[in-house]
Parts: sequence; C-alpha cells; structure tokens
Amino acid sequence: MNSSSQSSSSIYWAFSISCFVAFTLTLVQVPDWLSAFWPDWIALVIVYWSLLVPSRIGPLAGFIIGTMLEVLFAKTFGVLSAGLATLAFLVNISHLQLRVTSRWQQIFLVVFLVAIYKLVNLWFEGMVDGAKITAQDWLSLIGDLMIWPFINIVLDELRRALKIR
Amino acid sequence: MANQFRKNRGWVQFGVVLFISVTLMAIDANTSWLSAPRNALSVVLRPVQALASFPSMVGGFFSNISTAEPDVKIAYENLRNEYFKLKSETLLLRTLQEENAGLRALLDATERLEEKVTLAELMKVNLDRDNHRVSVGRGLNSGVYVGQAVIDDQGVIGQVTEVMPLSSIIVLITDPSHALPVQVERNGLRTIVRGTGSLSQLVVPYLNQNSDIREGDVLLSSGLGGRFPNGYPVARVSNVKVIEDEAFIQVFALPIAKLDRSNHVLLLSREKRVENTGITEREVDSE
Repeated sequence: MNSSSQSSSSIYWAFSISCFVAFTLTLVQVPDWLSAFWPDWIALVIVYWSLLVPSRIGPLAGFIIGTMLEVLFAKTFGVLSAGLATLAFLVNISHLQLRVTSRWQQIFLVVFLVAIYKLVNLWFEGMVDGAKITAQDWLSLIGDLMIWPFINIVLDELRRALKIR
Repeated sequence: MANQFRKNRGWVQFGVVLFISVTLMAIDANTSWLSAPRNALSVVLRPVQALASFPSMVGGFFSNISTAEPDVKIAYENLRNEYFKLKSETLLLRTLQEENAGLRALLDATERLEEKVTLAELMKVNLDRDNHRVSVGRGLNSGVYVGQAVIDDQGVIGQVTEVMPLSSIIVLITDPSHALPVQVERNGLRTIVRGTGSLSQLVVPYLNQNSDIREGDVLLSSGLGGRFPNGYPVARVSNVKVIEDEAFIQVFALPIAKLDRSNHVLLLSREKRVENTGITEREVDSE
C-alpha cells in the first residue's frame, strides 16, 4: 500500500516534469523550415503516460495540462484542453491494443491518435477564432512520427530511474 | 468487474471534462468573464514560463553567435535603423524643398519692389460665391493696416479689409465687390478689373467698341488710387466679346496670381523700405 502511494506520487512527478520539458521544447526557437515539422511534444508526452498508466493519467490530466497551456499560450480556454482530454481518453481506451502491437505499428497508431487530437484542436479553434485548417498544420505529424521512438526511450529511462512500474 | 468500472469511469471522466471544455470555450469566446481567472493562473504559471523559456533564450544567444559576427550584426542593426530614420527624414525634406522653392520665388518677387513687405501665411480660406476672403496670420502685431495690397510671387491677390490683433482678412480680387485700377501692359490703356465671384474669371467693364484690347493682353496694376503698387501683374485677358448695338464690349480676364494655390502671401506697405534686403530677410526668418 505504502509502495503503491509512493509510486503514485512519483508518477505525478514524472508526468509533471516530462510535461514541463515538453513545454520547454515547444518554446524552443527553431528555423522556419523546421518549425512546421516541430513535433507536438506535449501531445506525445500525454500519449506516453496515458498509455503507461491509464488508471492515473487520463482525460482529467489532459484537461489540466491543456488549461495550463491555454494560459501560457494565451489561447481560448477549452480548445487545447478538449483536444488533450480526447487524446488521453482515446489512448486510455485503446491502451491494451497499443501495448501489444509491434513498435513500428505502434508508431503509426500513436501518430494517428495525435492526428485525431490535432483535428479536434483545429476544429475547436476554427469554431472559436475562425482559423482555417491548412495542409501546413499536418506537417508536424511527420515530426511526431520521427520523434516518438526517442520520446519512448527517454521516458522509459525516466520511468526506470523513478522506479515506476 | 473492476476493469468494467474503470472503463466506465474513464467514459464519465471524459464526458465531464469535454463538457467543461466546451462550456469554457463558449464562455471565453463570447465574454471576458474568464480573464480574471486567466490572469490569476498566469501569475501562478509565470515561473514555469520563465524557466521553460530559459533554454530557448540561451539557444537564441548561441544561434546569434554562430549565425553572424556580432559586430556585423550590430552594424547591420544600426544601419537599418539609420536607413529608416533617413528615409522618414527624406519624406519631410521633400515638402521642405517645395516650401523653400515657394519662399524663394516670393523673395525674388520682393526684389522687384521698393515697398516694405511682410510675409504672411494663409490661415483660413473662405470662398463662397459672393465672398472671396482669406485670413492670414498677421495682424496689428505686425503692423498690418486696412487697405494694404497683398501679392504673391506671380501677381496681385487682393487687399486687406479687416485687421485683428493677430490676424487679418484679405479680400481677393475675384470677390464680386472688389475692383482695382489697371493698365494694359501693351499700350497703357487705363481701366479697372472687377471680380465676378469665380476664381478663374475677372471682368473688365466699361470698355467701348473701339478700345484697343485683345486676348492675351496682360493687365498691370496702375497705381491709381494709391492702394496697389504700380506695374504689378493682375490678370491676362482671356476673352473679348463684341456685341453689336451694345455700348460696351465684354472683356474677361484670368487672374495671374495663384489665388487658390499659394500658402504664403506678401503684404505691401506704402512706406519705403529702410534697407534693401535686411527687413525682408528678417521677416522671412520670423515666419
């Protein structure tokens, strides 16, 4: 019991730290040609944790992180949080399938889920701000595709270091 | 069973969270009620933001170093600022140039005169059909008096009718109630020119059928009546109409002065100038 609560709090720590790092990476200034392909770091981190511990990281966590991001990026409340909550929820309900697929298949499934997150996100944004969805909005999925394995490795290391099972 | 419960809990949580998100979205998009909570949250998250933006600041610093020599970068920034400053000044310069050209023309005009002149800037133009008057920014303080002749670099504009402490009113030669004595430059024929209420037309009345006047004749002020100086261009005859059985012919003339275009005018006074150029220059400087 004691070890379980220990594990729970360290999960939240690890989740917060990785979200913070993801936020930092989102803010990094990159050349113009790269910025379109710059991955959706926070979405990938949410995918990782909601896949690993679906009982703890779910829609609520996505909502909270999304709300914080809305404040930090000065976006309309609810736009990012709805997207991230949807993403966490989709990963939660499909975590068993995602875990048993091969690494390669998993990459594409994850990118597919992130694409759904982006769709929800852009859809709500279009409703609120009248922004149009362009082809450029989808280029970051290529970045997600390439970076997901590395995020997986790095966060696995973090998990091991914090002894999260 | 537990698994089933967990699954259901996920659905409920998702539903609730999505509902809250959409509600917040609707409120935030249409009202400003959420700006206070947003500000409060942003204060709480300020350290996060500061900490998170630190690496990108450092990265920006290094990319600045690596992409360009610092001196070159600074020099470039300076040159660009200088460029924009100079460009804006050039725009100003163009208007100054035009103004300067106009003032120079006015100065040249005064060289021909022996009278004391006062440079004045137009303040207000009032041109209704029966009332061609302009205000200038010179009044009693500059020694303006009623009846002073007003000219520009081309010709006669009008005369002062009313003097106020800091401004005065000039009636233009095109005012219907205004007339001034003129002479035809070609042959010295004396007559008068009257305003018609149109800026581009003056009328020369009381010339009989055998008067020697033609289209293109220049009319100079004759100096009779003592108001206007002698020999200053007033108008150019534009149309001469001879009507049978009428005592007088109809002669129309076009004002030579830029009545509707000059921004500066000269007020002439009858007293002789003390120095040839000194006063004029001082007057121009003070304008």
